[in-house]
Amino acid sequence: MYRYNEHDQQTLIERVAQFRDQTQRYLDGKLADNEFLPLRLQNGLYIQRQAPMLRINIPYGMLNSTQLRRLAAISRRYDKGYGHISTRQNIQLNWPTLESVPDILAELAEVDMHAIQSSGSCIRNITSDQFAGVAQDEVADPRPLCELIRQWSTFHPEFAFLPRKFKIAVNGSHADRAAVQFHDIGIELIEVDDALACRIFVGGGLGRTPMVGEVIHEALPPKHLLTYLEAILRVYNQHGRRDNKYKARIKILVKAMGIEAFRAQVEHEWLHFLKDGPSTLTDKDIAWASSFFTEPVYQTAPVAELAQTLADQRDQHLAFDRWMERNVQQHKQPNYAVVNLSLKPAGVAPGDVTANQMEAIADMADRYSFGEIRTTHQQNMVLADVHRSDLFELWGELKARGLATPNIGYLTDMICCPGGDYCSLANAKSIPVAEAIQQRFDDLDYLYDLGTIDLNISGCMNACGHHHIGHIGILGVDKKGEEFFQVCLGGDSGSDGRIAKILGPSFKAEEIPAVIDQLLECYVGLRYDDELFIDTVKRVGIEPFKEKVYGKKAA
Amino acid sequence: MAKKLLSNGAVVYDNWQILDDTVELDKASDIPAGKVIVSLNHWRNHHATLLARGTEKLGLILQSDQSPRLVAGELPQVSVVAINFPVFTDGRGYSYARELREQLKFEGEIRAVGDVLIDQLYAMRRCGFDSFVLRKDEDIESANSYLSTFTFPYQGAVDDPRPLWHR
Ligand code: SF4
Repeated sequence: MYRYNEHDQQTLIERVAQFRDQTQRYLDGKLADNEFLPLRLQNGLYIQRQAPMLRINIPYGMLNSTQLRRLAAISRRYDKGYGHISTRQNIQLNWPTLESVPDILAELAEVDMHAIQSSGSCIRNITSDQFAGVAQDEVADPRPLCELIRQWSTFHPEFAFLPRKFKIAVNGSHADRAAVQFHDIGIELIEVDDALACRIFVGGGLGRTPMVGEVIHEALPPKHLLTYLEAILRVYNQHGRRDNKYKARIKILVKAMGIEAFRAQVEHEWLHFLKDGPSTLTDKDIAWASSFFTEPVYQTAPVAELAQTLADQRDQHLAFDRWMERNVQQHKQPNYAVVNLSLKPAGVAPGDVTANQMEAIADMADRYSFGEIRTTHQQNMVLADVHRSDLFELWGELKARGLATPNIGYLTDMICCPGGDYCSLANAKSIPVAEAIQQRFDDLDYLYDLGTIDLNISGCMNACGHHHIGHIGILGVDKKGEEFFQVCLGGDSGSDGRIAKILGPSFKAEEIPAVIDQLLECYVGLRYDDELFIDTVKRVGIEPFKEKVYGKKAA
Repeated sequence: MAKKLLSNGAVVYDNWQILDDTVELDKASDIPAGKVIVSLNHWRNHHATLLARGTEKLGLILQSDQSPRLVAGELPQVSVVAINFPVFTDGRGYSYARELREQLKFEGEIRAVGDVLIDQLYAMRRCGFDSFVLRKDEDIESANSYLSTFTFPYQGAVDDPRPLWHR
């Protein structure tokens, strides 16, 4: 992974000093609330219901074991001993005090971590595929470009105060695991005539007005990536709406102008002023960035009886077999496997991880996975390079730590935002709903039979829980001061990106598990053979589900 | 007390007068003597009179919805372009400063006015601003150090067009 040099480190030290000064001036009453607000947001600091919330960046989901141990220590010292993995691969602390944040940032800086631009109206953490570099279906490793974009966007002086937040995702595989069509800018790496190119989507996003991004460039050579991004951002910075925060995202601008006109402006800016300028990437630059993401030293020699031993272990231990089936994925190196750590056992808020677990994961990463860990936008973690002969042992350790729930991709592996328990914007408490669903559907055999289902829950329209792109989405709404939940169906975050449709009138929290049950029953009744839930919904539409849940409309 | 501004890192007296649209200029004789920075409206209405006083005494002030491209051809006639920040979170002015320097090759003074706070000076300087009329309650004497918060900026901008990896 990327290694900080003295320039990066100096920048972090200066960042901590800057924020210490800003916080002090705020506490001394020299900086007004509204002036401190964007400064602290650009350092990941929200003032929430209970306490401030600090969002710490995990650039494109990559962590090393030293960093994870430091996060554990920080969460213990300054918080309540746990953290929460967000849907943008970051980690959030829910209970730090404002006064302690400069110290937390200083401790993070010592391990090359920070909260720069993890919130606010600026370019946010770049997200990517959690299986980058190990996926079998990879066209190219997206991380070198992610890192170059990270550097380019860090304290970009022109884009410090955009109309609204700006999210960029990069995906390098055939399957889209980064939801590139639902970002302000999505970059898909493709191969054109044996050369790498970037297909660029613009104007996608969730929130109040969910939209699928449109292609602004079909195949941009990577060397032009940064100048092209700069052109898009410049047009947005000047023309994005600033009068209404709900209309300020780039998707609204693209929609208002139309993709053709928007593209024409971007191209004009780019061709006349930016293309081939000093920020154009040379082969050397890309090689330099790529040098940080080389393969670890894999043990490639065939191991005698490996397949047989694993098969025997699976035969003898049903739980191991299930875990293998569900949480372990193929690696491009046949001796290795990709291991998903489920942060979704029943009874735990989805994505929460304790300090003890973090330390255990760091140790396991050192022992089994070259000291690296990834976070996923499904709010889980990944050990990406585990030798197959270590799987059984690793499983035992994960199980002991509550990290081996074999539910990756299943209904109970749901995405859920912090909601009304923590977030001051919430309409409703999303976590108790998630927990009620987990409790109701704890029968693994049933979950197995149901197969892959993305269930996403957001506590309000801001859609941090990505409810629009869940196969089943649940949204907290406020009706005359009471919490209700709207259910939607048929969203998809993959390459066939689509936005879920609202099923009908909303429900009370306690009704939700039963509603989910009805949706599932309906699916089981309608599916062909092993047709997936989402495919059934796509085939039959939402009507049959509607009828099942609300009953037939009186004719 | 005379007004001050931060100019190229030094606190100096500001001997320019800003005539924005809140100042009425019915006839050419309403224009005060000395150095003036005028709004686009005034510029258009009194162009000939203004020009007569010479480039060194002329400046233009642009609002945050007025791109410098609107006056591209007239830039050689002024020695200052002021860009107004109605609120510090309106980031359009950053793009305008870069456009002035990088595209329109403006070599005069680019001045930030309006809601100009010390915490934004660093980014403004990088985009090509070289003078700053800070908001009244800001401490201009301590502002200088805020121009250079970071030693190694990653991306190219007006101060150094090369990204860090090319420096
Ligand atoms: S979706 Fe709403 S409630 Fe949930 S975290 Fe985002 S803003 Fe808060």
